[in-house]
Amino acid sequence: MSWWLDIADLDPDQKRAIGLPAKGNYLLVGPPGSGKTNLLLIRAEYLIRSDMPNVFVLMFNEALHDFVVRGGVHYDVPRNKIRKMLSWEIVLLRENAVEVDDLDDVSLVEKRRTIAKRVLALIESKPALEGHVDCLLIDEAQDCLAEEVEVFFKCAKNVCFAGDSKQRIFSADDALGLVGAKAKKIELKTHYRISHEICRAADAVGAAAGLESVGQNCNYKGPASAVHFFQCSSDQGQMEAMEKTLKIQLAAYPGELLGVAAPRKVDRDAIRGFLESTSLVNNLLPHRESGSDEAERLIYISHLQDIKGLEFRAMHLGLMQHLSRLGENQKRIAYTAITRAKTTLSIYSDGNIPGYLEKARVAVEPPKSKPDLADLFPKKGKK
Amino acid sequence: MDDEYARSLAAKLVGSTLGGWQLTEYINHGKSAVVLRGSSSTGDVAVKVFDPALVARFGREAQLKRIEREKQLIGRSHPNLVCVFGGGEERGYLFVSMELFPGSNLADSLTRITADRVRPLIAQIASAAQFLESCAFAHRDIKPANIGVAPDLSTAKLLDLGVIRPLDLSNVTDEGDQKLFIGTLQYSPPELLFREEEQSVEAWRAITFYQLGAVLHDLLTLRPLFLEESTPYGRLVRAVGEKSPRLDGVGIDSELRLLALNCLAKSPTHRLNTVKWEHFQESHVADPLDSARRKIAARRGAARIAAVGENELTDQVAQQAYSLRTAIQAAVVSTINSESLPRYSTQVIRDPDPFLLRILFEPSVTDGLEVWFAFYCFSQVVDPAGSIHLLGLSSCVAGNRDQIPAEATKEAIVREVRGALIDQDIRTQVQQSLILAYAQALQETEASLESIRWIDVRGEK
Repeated sequence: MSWWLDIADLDPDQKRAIGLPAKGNYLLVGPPGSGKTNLLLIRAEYLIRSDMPNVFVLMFNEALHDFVVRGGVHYDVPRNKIRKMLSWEIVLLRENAVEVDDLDDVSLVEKRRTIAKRVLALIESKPALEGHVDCLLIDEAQDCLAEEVEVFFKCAKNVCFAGDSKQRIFSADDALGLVGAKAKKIELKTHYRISHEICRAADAVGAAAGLESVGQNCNYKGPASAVHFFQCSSDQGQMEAMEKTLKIQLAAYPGELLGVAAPRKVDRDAIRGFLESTSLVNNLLPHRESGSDEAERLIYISHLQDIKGLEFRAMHLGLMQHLSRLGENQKRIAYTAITRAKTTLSIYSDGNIPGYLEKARVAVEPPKSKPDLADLFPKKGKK
Repeated sequence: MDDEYARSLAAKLVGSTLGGWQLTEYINHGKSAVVLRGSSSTGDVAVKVFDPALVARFGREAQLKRIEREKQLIGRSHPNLVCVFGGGEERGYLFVSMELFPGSNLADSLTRITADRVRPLIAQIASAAQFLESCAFAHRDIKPANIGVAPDLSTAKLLDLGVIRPLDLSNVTDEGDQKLFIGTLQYSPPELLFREEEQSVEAWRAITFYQLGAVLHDLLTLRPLFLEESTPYGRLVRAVGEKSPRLDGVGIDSELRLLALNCLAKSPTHRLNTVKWEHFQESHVADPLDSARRKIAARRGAARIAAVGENELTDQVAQQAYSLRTAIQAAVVSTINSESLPRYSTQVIRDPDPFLLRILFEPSVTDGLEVWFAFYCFSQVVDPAGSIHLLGLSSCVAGNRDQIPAEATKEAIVREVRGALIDQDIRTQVQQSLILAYAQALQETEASLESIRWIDVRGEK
């Protein structure tokens, strides 16, 4: 993640967000790369220094949490102040002797909802817990459940949410709407992380999902960028192309994280299996870890729903012919996956990709020459 | 004068002396004068003797004045400009003596010109014209017939200084020929033909650029400009006034083609905005790889034109529109980043052809930008077969966002470039215009700005 080290790096919207009073409820909304996570961390540090030490930064998923903890040192936010949303709730329940180990068989969403309900019940029975935290700072708020939003408002004297409705990938409650009704909204308009070309691809997919353009507020300043669509009928061929490109990128972007993602877990496992059989094996990060003490481990592999909040210098989306299996949220999932890429984006498939992704290809590739009419007819000698 | 008359006039003169030169033989003749070889102990010269009958008919004073002007160049020499040694009136003959140039004129040698000769020849002629301008003269009649080329085609000299004109001639009434057309119609810009030229160094430079462009056209195509339109006269007048010459030949250097098209623009302002003296010299682009890239691009373009039929032209429009869009966006972003311009938003107003991109910068205290500042990039594929594109750049400022229009209005001051543009051209044009416009936008204050103001992005005159 790119960190700001100087207040001069901030744009006017970001400065407005930094200058908010210590007390109060706030919602920062903005496109990917607009600095939401950074602002939450800066705000956490600001609150700790302003004599409000009892604050927590809550992250949505494990990988993002890991990511931020690695970066958290830049802002002097103690690591134990940066927590995973669900585990923060579970710790609270355990500290108050509430059963939490009976939920292994249910879906994640159901588990989250149940845990949030138990926290609410706990507060009901122990009013001292109401407002026992000075401030909660919650990232990726668009994917919170209604109950979770309620938990955060109840537990903390002040809350600060950050989110982007366009990146909502779980068919969850309208968390940003709920938060927006009770918090002052600060809009971050401009974003800096994602290149113009990648925005073009994202906007083509976003338009199909009814999302507004992210390209028009792009102020990307990074290295030269590109979006590539690879077409190969065999999975093996797609993965070999990916391997080749990854090797080049490891050399081209030293020390930077590279992302690999595929639609389903089974696709992810196939890609991991393949890459482990290549000379890239020592460059792969362990499952669900977005950082390693071994400096050469820079390739993060996951399935599409698991990469929200993360960012990669180069992003590879493989076996994308299976994208259509992801159900009703697939457009937003694809959108979010595309916007994880900062500089280069490579999309691999056997050619059978959904129409909205095809639109992204058309948006970034040069127009093809029209086919020769003769080619449209069966070749002689072939049956 | 016809050939017979010229030879009889020459016959009368051979054996006599003028200005100390012994006239030894007839060389050739023009419309109003014969040229003879003049000899002395120091070497041979060309002596141009004006027909006394024509001088008497059209004014001795005016002709003498022209000779006096030519004589002002005595002692000021340039390797590509014919050298004037003397002139005056003797025995009732008006004459000028000048350097004898061995070789033929470019009009007669045109078909022998090879592609590698074009750049050195036009560079030499332009440098002679620029030298004349530095001496405060305009040639007014640069054309292949007035350009001498060495037998090996390696060097060229601008000949016939008979119609040169001082640039600082403020009192136009002393010009006897003031309302007569001077120069050769086929190689003259519309403003000279219609005598609408302004009296300024720049106006004359615009005329010179046009004539240099016409010569370059001939060098590139090996055909005289407006050959098909040269008769009848009325048709030629119309062509000079309205017709845009085409330079679509296979293998034409794209940089020179762009230069020629820019020179041949009907509007003098356009010429001055897009052509600089240094463009005639060896590749004016700093990047040494660029000429190689141009060659590759030109080659590819030519190969494609040769390979595809007419029905694929629409595909070419789409492909060229894509390249234009990509190049414009890359140029805009790289300029914004390299110059650290303030926060901006972009909007594609038209897509794909014509393409229009609007970049909007909001007021920024830390950057000292007090107003809304918009920059517009317009492009269009004009001729897909020849890869001729149009790039239009403009800019405006306003006190509030609502006043900024989506597209440039007719009040806009547009920097327009037309030709076989490659990425390098687009990068240079966009970069220059954007920086120029931004510098001007910084001068504006909200208080000084009641409504929208269009910025001149065309660069120095």
